[in-house]
Amino acid sequence: MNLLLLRSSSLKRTSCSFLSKSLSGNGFLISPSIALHYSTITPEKNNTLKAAEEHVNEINEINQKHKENHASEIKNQNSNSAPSKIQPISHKQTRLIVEKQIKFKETALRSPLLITLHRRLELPKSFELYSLARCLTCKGRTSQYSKNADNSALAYFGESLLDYYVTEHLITKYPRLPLKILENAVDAYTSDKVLHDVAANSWGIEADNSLPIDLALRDVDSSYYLGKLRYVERHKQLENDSNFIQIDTKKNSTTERNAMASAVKSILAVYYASTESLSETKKFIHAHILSRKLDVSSLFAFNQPTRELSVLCKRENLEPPVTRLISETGRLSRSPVFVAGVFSGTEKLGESYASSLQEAKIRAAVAALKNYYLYSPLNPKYPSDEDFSPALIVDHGDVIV
Amino acid sequence: MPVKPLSATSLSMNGLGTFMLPCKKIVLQYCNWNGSAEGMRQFILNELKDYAASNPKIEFNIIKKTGHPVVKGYYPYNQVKSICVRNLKPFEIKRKLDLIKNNSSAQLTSYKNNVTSKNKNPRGIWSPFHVAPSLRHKI
Repeated sequence: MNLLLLRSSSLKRTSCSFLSKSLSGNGFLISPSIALHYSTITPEKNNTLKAAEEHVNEINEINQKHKENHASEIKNQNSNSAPSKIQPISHKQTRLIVEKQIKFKETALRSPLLITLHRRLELPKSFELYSLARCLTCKGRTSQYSKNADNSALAYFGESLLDYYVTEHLITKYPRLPLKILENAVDAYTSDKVLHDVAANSWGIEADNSLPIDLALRDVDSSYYLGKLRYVERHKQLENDSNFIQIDTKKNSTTERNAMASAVKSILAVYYASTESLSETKKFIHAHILSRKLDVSSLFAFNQPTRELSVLCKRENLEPPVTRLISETGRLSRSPVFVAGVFSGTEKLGESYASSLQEAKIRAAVAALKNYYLYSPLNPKYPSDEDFSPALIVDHGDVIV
Repeated sequence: MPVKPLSATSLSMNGLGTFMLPCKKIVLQYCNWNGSAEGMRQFILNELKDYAASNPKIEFNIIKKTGHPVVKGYYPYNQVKSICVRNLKPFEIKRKLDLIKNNSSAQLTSYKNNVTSKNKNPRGIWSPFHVAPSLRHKI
């Protein structure tokens, strides 16, 4: 638990620095519009221009300060020392960058796919459409408007958000889960395969599977294609003349599954950045990912359940387990049924049935172990909840046989 | 290590945490000259804009193609449902669109069991072995 809390505090720190770096909020509003191909949405140009001018002014101020500092530094330093290598960006360059950004934002505002996805996910208004477009752009497929605007940094942050809340949920729900089982349970919610299912089949994100020749011929950065998942596809099997299988190691290439997963993770990151609230992000993760069904008891495969149970009883200061036959039928027939229970003193730890006495004994031990490991407290509080009070939980760890 | 972990994937339970509309895209295919597409042309001209505005969670596409007019719905797992709307009037086409919009994309089947569920029965199943021995059936 302490580890979790520690991790949460570090998360908050990373998020702040991340916010200032990657996403600075602008006064954009998503105009309510119809997601149609032929429909044209007129973005609020005045607003965008105003925002752009403010942006330029800001940059100018920073440049001015930079120049002043530079001049004072030079004055202070001796004439022998080398001048600093950092040079402020020129006015023309900033103007160009800002113009490109505006064009990118306006294109995103016109994208029917982006608008539909925004509505499907019921994202807040502060979640800008161009940020959504950035979430869908993987490394190597950046647009002409902004070369560094891919989702790799966002996905990195979103992954830690997702891992944190999923681990927290599982640890709180099943506090006695062995570590290896916990890791697999977290994987069952956060693996690329699962996130691909979330993105493609639940959210309805489509991948841009066009051939390289199509990419060269059409306008890749048109508003329609901004709403698709854009990534460099990895071709696993390419046959050359001698029929050898080659692995195409194109730079920044990924599979569709990985690309979809990164899109989901980066949407989580931007969701946090736009709402600026961890509790809202937690709600979003619980609604879309933790609402999925996982049978945690199916993750166990016991090697020696009877021995493990007796060691466990010894460790927990319980009386040694004794297996007793509760009920049986057809012992001499071809399909007998034996119901066996494992008892520690007068308390029944577990019970199961099988068609042989030996199997019934093993199954009862497995049931008893699962009863122990899958203990779940009623109405637990998460460490990220506001009214959470840390209780002293001493976990003895795995049972060593 | 006595306990071996097995890998598993979680299953989507649409409607539990949040409900995502299964229909994500509707394509309306029409022809400019065909008489059977008369109703479709009227629908696209007069009613489609309002219909699309009232369904913001669905992407609407229009395709011009010769032949009878068709309405197609796109669903998860690459499922497509298409309905031919030849000689239909705009209000009938609207009904067909509602059918596609509200569809879960599942195949039409007659269910044999009264209840089908991914969850276990919370009460468990009745067991003859746990009845008191005096009340058990004797052969």
